[in-house]
Amino acid sequence: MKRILILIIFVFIFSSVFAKSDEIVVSSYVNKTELTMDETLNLTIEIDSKKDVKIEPLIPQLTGFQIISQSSSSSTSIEFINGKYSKSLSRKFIYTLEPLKVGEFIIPPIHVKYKNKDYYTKIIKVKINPSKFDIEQKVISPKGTGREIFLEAICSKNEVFIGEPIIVSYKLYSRKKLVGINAEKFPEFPGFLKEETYQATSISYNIQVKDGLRYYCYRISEFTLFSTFSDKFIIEPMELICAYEVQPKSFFDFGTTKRVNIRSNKVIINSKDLPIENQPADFSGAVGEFYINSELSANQIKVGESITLTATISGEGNIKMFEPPYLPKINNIDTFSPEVSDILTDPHKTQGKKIIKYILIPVEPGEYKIPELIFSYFDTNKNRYKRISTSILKFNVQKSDKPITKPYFITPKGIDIHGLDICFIRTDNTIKDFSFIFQHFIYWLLVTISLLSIGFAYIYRLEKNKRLLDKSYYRWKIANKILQKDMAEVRNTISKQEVNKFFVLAENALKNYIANKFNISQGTAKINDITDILKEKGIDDQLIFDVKNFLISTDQARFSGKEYSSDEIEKDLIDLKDIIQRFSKMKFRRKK
Amino acid sequence: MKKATFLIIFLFICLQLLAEFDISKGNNAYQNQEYEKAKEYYEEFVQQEVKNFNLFYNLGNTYFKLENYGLARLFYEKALRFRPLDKDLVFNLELLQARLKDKEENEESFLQHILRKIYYFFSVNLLAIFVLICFILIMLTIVFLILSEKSSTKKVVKVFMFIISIFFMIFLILTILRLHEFYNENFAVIIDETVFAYSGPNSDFQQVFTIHEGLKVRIEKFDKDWVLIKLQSGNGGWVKNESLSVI
Repeated sequence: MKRILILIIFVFIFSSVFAKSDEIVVSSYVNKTELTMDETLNLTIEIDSKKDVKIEPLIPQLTGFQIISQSSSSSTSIEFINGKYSKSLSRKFIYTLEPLKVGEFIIPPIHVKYKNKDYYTKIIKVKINPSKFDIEQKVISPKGTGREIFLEAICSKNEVFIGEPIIVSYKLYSRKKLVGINAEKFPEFPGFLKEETYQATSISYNIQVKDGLRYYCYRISEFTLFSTFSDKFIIEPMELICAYEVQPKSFFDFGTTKRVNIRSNKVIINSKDLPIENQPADFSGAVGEFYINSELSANQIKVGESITLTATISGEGNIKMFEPPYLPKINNIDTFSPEVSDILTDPHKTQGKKIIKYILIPVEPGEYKIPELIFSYFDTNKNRYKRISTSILKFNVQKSDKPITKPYFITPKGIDIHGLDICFIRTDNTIKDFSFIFQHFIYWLLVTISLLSIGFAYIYRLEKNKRLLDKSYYRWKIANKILQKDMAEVRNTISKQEVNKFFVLAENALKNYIANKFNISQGTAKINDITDILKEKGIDDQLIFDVKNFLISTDQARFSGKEYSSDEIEKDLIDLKDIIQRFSKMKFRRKK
Repeated sequence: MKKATFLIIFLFICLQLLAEFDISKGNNAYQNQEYEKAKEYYEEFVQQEVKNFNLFYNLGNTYFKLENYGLARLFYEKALRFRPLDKDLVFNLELLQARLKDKEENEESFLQHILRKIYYFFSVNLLAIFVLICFILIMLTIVFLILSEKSSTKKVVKVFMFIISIFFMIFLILTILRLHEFYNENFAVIIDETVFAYSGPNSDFQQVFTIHEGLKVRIEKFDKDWVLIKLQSGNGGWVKNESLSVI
């Protein structure tokens, strides 16, 4: 019985020890319960146990926070109290939380499961206040506020005068910390002179709060622009590819990188013309606010030595864009093109000074006055032109010990081009209406004549071939030609008064003509034969009669031995001509 | 009666060929820097539909001086159609382009430059005269070949005709190409200061690009009050008819 009782007590003690060793205690706490937007919160979950347990808490969805880092640690403590030994193991999971918005939030109970038993921590209330930065600097909410990530193009002015500087800056806002930023497309600035004043070379950020939301703000690039003409300009957006890490879902998830393509808002700039009214004649395009002063490098020099007049125009505006003031001609002083340098002092390159150095070489001794240098600019604050000037400077020139020589050190330069203009008009006072040459009929007349010439040539060729092949046709064609030749001989006999020969030739001329025309053999052409053939050809009787009479009369005249007067001969010639003329007027068909 | 009619027609044609227009008033006004007056004088002849290089060139200059770069470009481009290689005109046009808000890509390779010079070296009229001369020579050689009986001479004439035919073809093709370009290329110049182009023939469509006065564009299509234009970059858009003027 005693043994049983001892055993029961022993079992009870051990069981209670073992039972206790299986239990764990889960607790959670934060390092502060009230914080501002630019601070972080440490949430610690502690799991105490008697022995080493390999468990981890399950973090629920946290409202108003995001986990930016996590770590864990474990510790073992051994205690001897009143001779009693106790060992406890403590494992801490520390989560660094970043506030996302202002307000009061609750960190819900955190669940730990161990040996089918659920353990929960207590809820924790945390209050998030706005940051000092947020309170002091109210940022105007840009388009896209409330988004996870956006690129903002900020323009210092949206309405400017030509030449007035504008600062355009690009800032990237992200709720998540970025691990990479790549430029995909940079904006172009047509119509502007551009000065790049900042370009990010590494990923650096500051924390900014916009409408109660906390953002990582990355400064990407900044430009200073000067418009060159008046218009409404729309600057296309900048495009970036950003990479950020996706938070691990569990403690042993190492996360992934996600890329997003973002583009900025467009910027609209209205560039206005400078007013023409009251514009000074010497205005050279300076826009802003400027001051001018001048000084001389010496007060006393000798003839032939040089003295430098330095004019400094300082202020804020388009320092690089305007021309230096004109130095009026000073008697007995040689001047040269000034040396101009621009010194810009501020990061936006709008403030600084233009230093103009005029080299003066006096050629005669005496007291010289340098007239005031007048400089005009358009004051953008007062919206009017201003003329400022330097004070009059004096210097003394003494005679030189050395012989005066003209400065020889001037290196030849290119011809000064003062400006470009269009070529002059054509001064011809009369003009003709333009037309294409082929619109004139002469052009086509020549083309037609050329084409017809081929037709004519072809017909001529055919004719020629025919003449070569057809003897009767050939004779018919050449009858007139031979007649002309014969008649010439007949007339020749009259002039020579060869009467007998006249009748012979006149008879022959008629016979040949008729023989050729009607293809009769010339040798056998007797009067009766001729008249018969003429009858056959349908020649009218009167003509046949006249032919017969003429031939008979010539025959008789040849053989009668009678003396013929020139009138009689002339009459015969007229008769002959009449007969031939009547033949030529008659239309008769040639016998083929 | 017939003879009289022919004589009248002939005289009418001759008068038309010799018809001249006096632009001295415009020239004098320009020389006196009275550009508004010069514009009015020159415009009178434009209204009469007189087409002349000098008139368009002088009017282009006048508009340039009046800083109306859209119309200056229009008349320079009209003049360019008659003399594409005129040095003064090309210079003025380049100067004008430098003052326009929209940049145009005019870069050409050395080879393209040479080919363009060859292509435009002769005027269309001169090419037409060459075509006519070659044609007449070819016809004469054919006539000669028809009539001639000597085979040795015929051979030489045939070679001559072959060479002339090649020239004839070259001049003819160049003339046709130039005439095709003259009559069929539809270009216009933007004359409004700023013009918005839309994706359809209505301002309710999406705005696709903005162009400015003086830009030369190709005309693709007309639709009532709207014109579909194409930029050098290939981008197309509809603009209002009144915002441009056809060259």
